[in-house]
Amino acid sequence: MRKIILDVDTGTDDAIAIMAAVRASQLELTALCSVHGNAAVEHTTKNTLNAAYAAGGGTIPVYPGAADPMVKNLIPSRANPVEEPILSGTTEINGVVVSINPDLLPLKESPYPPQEKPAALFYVEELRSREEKVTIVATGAMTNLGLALRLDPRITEKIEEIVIMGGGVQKTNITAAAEANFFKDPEAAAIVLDSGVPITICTLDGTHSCGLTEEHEKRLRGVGTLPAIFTANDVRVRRESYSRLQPLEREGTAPIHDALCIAYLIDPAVATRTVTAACKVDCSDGISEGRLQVDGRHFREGAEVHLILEADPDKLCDILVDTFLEEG
Amino acid sequence: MARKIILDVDTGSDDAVAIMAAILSPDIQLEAVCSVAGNKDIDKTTENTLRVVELLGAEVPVYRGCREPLVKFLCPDRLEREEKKKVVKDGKVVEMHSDYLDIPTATIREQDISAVEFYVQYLRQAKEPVTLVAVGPLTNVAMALMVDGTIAEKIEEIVVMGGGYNITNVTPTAEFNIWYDPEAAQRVISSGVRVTMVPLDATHAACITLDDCKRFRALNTVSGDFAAELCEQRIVMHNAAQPLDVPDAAAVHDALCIAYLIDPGVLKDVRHVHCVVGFRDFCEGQTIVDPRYYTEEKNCYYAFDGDRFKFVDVLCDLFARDKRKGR
Amino acid sequence: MTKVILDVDTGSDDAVAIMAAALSPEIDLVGICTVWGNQAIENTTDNTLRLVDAMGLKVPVYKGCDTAMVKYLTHDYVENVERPAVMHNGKAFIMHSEHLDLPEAVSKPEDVPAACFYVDYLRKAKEKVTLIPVGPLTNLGLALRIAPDIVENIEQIVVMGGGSKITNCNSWSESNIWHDPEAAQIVANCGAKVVWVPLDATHQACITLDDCKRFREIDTFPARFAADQCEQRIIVHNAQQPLDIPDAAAVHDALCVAYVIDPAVITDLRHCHVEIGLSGYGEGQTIVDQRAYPLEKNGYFAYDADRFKFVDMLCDCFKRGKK
Repeated sequence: MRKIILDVDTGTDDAIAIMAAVRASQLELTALCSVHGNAAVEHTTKNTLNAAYAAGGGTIPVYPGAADPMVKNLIPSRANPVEEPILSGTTEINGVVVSINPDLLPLKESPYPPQEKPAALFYVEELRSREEKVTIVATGAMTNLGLALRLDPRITEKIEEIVIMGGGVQKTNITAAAEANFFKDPEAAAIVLDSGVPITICTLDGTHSCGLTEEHEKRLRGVGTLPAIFTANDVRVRRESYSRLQPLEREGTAPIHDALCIAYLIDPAVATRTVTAACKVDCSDGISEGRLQVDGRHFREGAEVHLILEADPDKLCDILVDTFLEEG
Repeated sequence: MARKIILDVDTGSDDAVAIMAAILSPDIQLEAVCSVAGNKDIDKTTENTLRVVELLGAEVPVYRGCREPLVKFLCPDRLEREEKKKVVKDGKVVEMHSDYLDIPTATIREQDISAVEFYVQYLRQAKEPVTLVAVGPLTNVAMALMVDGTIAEKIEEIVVMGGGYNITNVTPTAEFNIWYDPEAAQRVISSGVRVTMVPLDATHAACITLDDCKRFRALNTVSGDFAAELCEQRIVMHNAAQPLDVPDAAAVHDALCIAYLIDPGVLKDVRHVHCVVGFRDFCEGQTIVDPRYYTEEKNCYYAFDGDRFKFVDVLCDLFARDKRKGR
Repeated sequence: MTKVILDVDTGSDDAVAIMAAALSPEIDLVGICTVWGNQAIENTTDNTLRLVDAMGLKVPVYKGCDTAMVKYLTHDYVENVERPAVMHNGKAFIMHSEHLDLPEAVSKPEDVPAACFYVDYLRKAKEKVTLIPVGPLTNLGLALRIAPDIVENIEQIVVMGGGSKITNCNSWSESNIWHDPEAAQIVANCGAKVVWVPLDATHQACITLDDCKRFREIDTFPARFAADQCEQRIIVHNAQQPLDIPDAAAVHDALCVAYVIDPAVITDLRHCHVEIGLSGYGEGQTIVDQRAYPLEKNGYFAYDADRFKFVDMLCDCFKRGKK
């Protein structure tokens, strides 16, 4: 069983990823780290606890992470991005106002408290002391990992792979140039990409290509378990939100970005088009701040990174249905 | 022989005093006045400049200059200026620079060509060196130097009102003129021409008091009266927003540059230094002077102090020469 | 007794600071963190351990960061020019030797990285702790980002760094701040009481050749070793950065320790708004808002110091050392 640590800014799609990671028999979720992003870190920590608990993983330790990016908010002009409506806006379904990133997710409160140790310290202690390697899945801003890699660069020796949801090649969301997770802490993203660890990125191109449909929503609802119904409900909200606030090429579909990372670990075949490319992250404070830069030249510069550019929505749905089939 | 100068202004209350001083001085032959965007937008600074020239009945051509800084406005991340403190006196909002100067609307017009074209054409043809006195953002001068670098040879000296070492106004690090167009300032300072910087350290020391304003009025001339009016307005602002060491006083920055051409003694502690201009973040528009024992190559003269008594004497002499009697 | 954590990039003046802190009866030195800066992290840690062993100290040493938080991720910074070594009596001198002239260290650093130690120690601290970082502020910057709540247990942070009217690294910055401006900006705005001891103060509190003679007369190990360090610094200062007082050197880091022992050694301390330049010309500059209506005051900036008092204090400390 592949051992993973999940680093999340929970968020509805993070919650689906957490639930899938808890339920998947192919994966052993050893710990969760929270981080600022979709909401303040107090909220994302709580949401993380509640999502793990909902899937039957309430005892998995949750380490509260960074409240701020490494350095980005030190410069006033960098600190206040203009938010894309899809990331912070609300929409109405049958008179009910919903958002894809509410501060607190509609989940039962977990009886388990978060750990006292901050996430970055946990990474250092855990990775220094463990025997075998672990895979880290980061679906929010990568502040915790960036800090940990600065605390002790040798922890990379214990990391098998880092699977990231973030960045976009042709698709972006928070600005014309950047995807939100990378944009919210470009320096941390750059440190992670430069770390020398094998890296797979589920890009926005990848997650947008495997948006789920109404059919998928029905199939998931039919499974009937709590995680499946949560996912079905979220697909519903997302389909409404995306069609109104950020219409996708394939009409009526909704991406559940972070869940693709876990689906990929369960079955890599979900990714249908991948490339290996030299990547960097723009850490300057101009218009392309936070951009995932893919070097297309022959003599290319940057970390060699595995990019997922397209994925199969049916397969994604199959994986989630299989994973959520068993009651926790 | 009178020294030929071209004045570059963003009129502006203290610019107006500088223009009048330059027109009235027998030591100065004012070849032209160029306007630039800064204190106000280019329409207003041009109109205000024309008004002052006309008020004194001077036969000096006015050229409209650049409406924007070289690159600053292209960058979304350049720091916003802090919210300015509003000053209210006698129920009226007082500003350091009114939109329009309180003198008759101009009937004369600016020249057909732009300030940058004028600089290039004029300096290419100039038989003898000319001094530029730039008391607004340095956009025009930098543009001209970019269009034709050889004009630098025809410039005797560039006297710049701008910057501050111990004193700043628009941010914790910067003075307005340099902050408004930092790239232009850097280009001018590193142009190879002799550059004399007249920063806030000098202009605040050479301040004008309410008593000095009385001296201006006692001259009973148009320029004396108008200068007094402008200085009094500035004193109200300074008292409220930027109190000086001397009570009831105001810096009249731009005019100090003209006074320096007439009597260099109005500037004190002028040091040959290495200076660069900050472009980004908190240091945007800062004139960074190398304080080290082994400094980098010296590129300008920087005035750290001024003599307010000499300065007022120079101004009084000039305003007394005005043939037009008080309003 | 004031509980103190030192954060050093040893370093000639760091060595003097460590000895003063270890010997002062006013200071309870609970830990020493190392950081890259004057030399690479391996050297600064090794030098710190060498000195700890030579002094026979029982103080844990925590190895810190080997590079800045983010500065070197981009090429967007102005290159710092290294000055060549100074030749004196046929020998080459630099401000900070790679290895302190002491026996090799027997002690080892603790297993915990410096920033982790800050978080762990400060969260558990029963009383407030004074931090004296005298190298780049990377360890503390990281710790404050990981756990901003640790400021509650910080009495004050006395930083050696910056300069208002005096700089050394380039025309606008002092090297500690230059090396990690973002970390310095985090510290400046962390909410704890921050006292900046910049070059303006440390150049005033310089140590002369005569002072070194006084150290030697004390004839303890720390006094002799401090004299060695100061004399080396004087040679380099004379050649590269002559001070107003002839044959003298700033011994920056030790002034921070002296300030914690007796604040009167700083003679002009102003409450003001301090900010750090983060890019381009001005990167690493300590900006002090000197306007009549400044931005919110967030720190204390030292403009002057009493060099006679400083030397007397160091002598008092060194007298307590072993022969």
